Amino acid sequence: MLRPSGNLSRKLFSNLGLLSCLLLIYSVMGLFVIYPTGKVFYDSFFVQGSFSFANYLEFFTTPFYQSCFVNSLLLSLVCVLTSSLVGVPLAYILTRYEIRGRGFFRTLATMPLILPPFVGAISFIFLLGRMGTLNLILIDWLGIIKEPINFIYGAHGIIFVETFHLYPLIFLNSAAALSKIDRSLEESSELLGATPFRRFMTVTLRLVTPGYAAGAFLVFVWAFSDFGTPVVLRQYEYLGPQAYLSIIQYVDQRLLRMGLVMTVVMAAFALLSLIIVRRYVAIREYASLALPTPVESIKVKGLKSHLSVLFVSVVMFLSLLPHIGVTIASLGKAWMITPFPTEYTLEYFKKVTIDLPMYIQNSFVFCTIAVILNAGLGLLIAYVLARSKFPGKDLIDSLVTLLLAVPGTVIGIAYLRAFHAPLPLLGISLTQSWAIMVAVLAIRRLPYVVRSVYATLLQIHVSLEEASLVLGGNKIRTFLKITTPLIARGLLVGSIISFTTAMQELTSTAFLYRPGWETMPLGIFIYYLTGGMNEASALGVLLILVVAISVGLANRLVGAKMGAAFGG
Amino acid sequence: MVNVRLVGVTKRFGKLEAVRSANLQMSKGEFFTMLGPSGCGKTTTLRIIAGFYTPDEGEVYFDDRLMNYVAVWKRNIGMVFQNYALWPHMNVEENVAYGLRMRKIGKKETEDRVKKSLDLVGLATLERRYPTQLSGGQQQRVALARALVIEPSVLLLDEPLSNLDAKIRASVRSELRRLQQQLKITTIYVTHDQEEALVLSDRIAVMDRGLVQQISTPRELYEKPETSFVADFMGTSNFIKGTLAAIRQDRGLVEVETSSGLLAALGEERLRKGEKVILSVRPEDVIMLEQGRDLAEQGLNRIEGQIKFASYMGSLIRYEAVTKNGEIFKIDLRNPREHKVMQQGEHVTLAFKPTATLVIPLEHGEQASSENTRSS
Repeated sequence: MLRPSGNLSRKLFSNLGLLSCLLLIYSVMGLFVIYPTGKVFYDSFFVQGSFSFANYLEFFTTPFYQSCFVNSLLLSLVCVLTSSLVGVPLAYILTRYEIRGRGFFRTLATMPLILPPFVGAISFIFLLGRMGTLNLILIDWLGIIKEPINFIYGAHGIIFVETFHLYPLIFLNSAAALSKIDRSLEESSELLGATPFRRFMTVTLRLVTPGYAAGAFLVFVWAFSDFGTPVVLRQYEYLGPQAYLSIIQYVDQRLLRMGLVMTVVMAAFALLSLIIVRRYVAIREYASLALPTPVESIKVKGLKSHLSVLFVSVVMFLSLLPHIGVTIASLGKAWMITPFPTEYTLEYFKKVTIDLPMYIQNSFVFCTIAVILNAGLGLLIAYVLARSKFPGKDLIDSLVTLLLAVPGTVIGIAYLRAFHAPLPLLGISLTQSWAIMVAVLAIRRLPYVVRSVYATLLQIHVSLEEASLVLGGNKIRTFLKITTPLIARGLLVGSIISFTTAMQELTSTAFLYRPGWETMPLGIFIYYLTGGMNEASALGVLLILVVAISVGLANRLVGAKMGAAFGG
Repeated sequence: MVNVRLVGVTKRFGKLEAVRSANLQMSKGEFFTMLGPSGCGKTTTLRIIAGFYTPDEGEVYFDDRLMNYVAVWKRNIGMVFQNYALWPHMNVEENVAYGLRMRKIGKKETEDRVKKSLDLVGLATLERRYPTQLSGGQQQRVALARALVIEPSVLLLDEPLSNLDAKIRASVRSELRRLQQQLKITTIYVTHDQEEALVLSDRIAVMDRGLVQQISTPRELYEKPETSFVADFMGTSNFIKGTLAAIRQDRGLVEVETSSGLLAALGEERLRKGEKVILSVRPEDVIMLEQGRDLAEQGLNRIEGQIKFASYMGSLIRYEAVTKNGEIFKIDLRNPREHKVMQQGEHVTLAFKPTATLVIPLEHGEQASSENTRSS
């Protein structure tokens, strides 16, 4: 009766498909995630060939670097606070209150995410700089002040720019969490005697925390290691800009070592915050809950209504300011000393499209290939996580989630150092080919596709696949004819998010590009550094258009699920 | 059409033994039901037959073919899932045609067979509709049509009626039976609803916690349960613990000493004096007599009790009475309009025939049971 040996060999054989999938997944993750980041960690601990903490000692005892570290830490914590102060009330107002234009505002609230913050910073130079619109209005038109106010050149500028770019992450997550609260949860607390305030504090806020935590984590990691915005606003005493400057110069070895230390510190803090919120952010948390009966919206009247509308309008205006500024700058000529341009022209647009289509071409080519690669790998990973049983599921889950945490700056530096040398088996150095651009764009977006497909897969009952097996379809045919059509939506949403965020990528590609490989964000950055502010703005407007159209397309195709997949 | 045999089949999930050494045989053309509470192993067994699980021990045969390592898609079985598993991205016609397409049947033949299959289940005009546009009952029929159109060797049904309204359930049930008898497909059915099992099946296997308790025809199962579990699962039973006192020579009766006195019951010859047994009496076999009244009949078992509850259920009243020893007795009074209705608190004599009292040896079932010891 017992046939143990027969069982074993058959088990292995029938799991051949699974084994080869796992092999592929682990190889890709190993080569493109673990190896590069591991190498950076490794390199930072070695001074002239032997293990030592010398680099770290030097870093943490140098006053300059100490202040960089403290600045970055404080900056990101403050950004989390300010984004929360904007994002959470906004989420509450737009979910629970019935105010006019609610749906419109909700869509507007995702606008900041379609423009990289450093481009917003560039537009602020036009609007809020020393010779910017606001200052000139105050000095020349209104005569209120004599000297220009420094609106943006300082930590406050960075915080302002980052807050109004990042608050949607908190907003979307919190709004999604709020709308998932079944009304009975709040009603029972009311029955038991809680005042609205206490109910909010003890029930509502607690239930929103997981979604909020996921958003806050993303804000923290981003603000901690961004260098685009600080550099544009000429603030260099932060980890991000210092790491960038230290690594891209090849000459000074000490600077290079300090750069490595900063990279590791950024990665470590990202990891730390990931560990704190991992319960809320793991892929497997995307199991869909039963559809709750949502809490009814409140019809607000009087002061409450006016204040809410005021708050929302101000937030929306400030969110759109960068877009407005960039648009004006792209069209305005001779905007040196007047609040608004005196002449308008299309020449900058011509410059960045017809004269030099490289940026747009590169962006589209790289991002499209990256998205296709992502779709394939992400689909495989999500399927394996959702449908198969094997040891080490948590490991894959962690690795993919890790990709969310690791800052672009870190990955860029890691890839530069890891793939500079020729790969062992293939004998070529990846950094010599634009494939490295595609690789870094693809790997950073993987979590979006995996999350999206995973959540969709869980909604598809396994019996739908079993029914196909019973009727004579083998595993491959079942996957193609049944599974794939049903997850098409999730795959599409994940892919579009991948595309739009890849299009905006700067922090990682800045370390890896070579002349001829520049993408649109890189083009903007370089134009800024070389004084071509208007060209930078024109390219910025085009970037906004491309991303906005993609997001609009996605919204059309799959409706409100976009927000949910992006953040919560 | 095949017969299905399970020989010593065991399936474990980690430490849990979902199915323990199951020996089952389903004959060609038979309607065979696996019946039991949640977690008894019936669905696991069905999925082993379907091929989703491989047994850890034992073999599964279709006729003489060993099926243990045959892939699901090569078994030529039809299966109806509890949630129907209709593909939302395909319409009714495409859903039903799927199995034929997998078998590379030609277009014309596919069309014909799909049409016939939908006719068979009474859904001829709904080919273009999508599953989300159908009612629960219609979806279930599509699922059935999809399973039958491929002319399978075995038809498996996993609690297919549990998602339907009570009224529809009854009519679909009888249609199912009629269809099965017409097509003469070997059918294996899984349910926790014993009424369903009784109505539909040729034979039933009652399962509990991974073990097959008894395999019999519906009537035998109800009238001659072999374990206390089966006795209480099929309908309701009153249980009285006792010790075998004597074996009467006549009519296969035995005498059992219980805390309520000496009772006579139907028993088998192989019972020994002094053996611990359980007596089982169905509520509908118990007659309630007012204090002071008695029946003329000789040799009835009699127990004194007091009525605690009365539940009016339309066609019958279910009473619960407590005996002197604290045992709970259930009595069903059918045709309430023709009898005197007893009140709560009344003292009554509970009378039942020895031929309606069944002996169940203690070592067959797990333990003496009633509501008190059943754990879910």
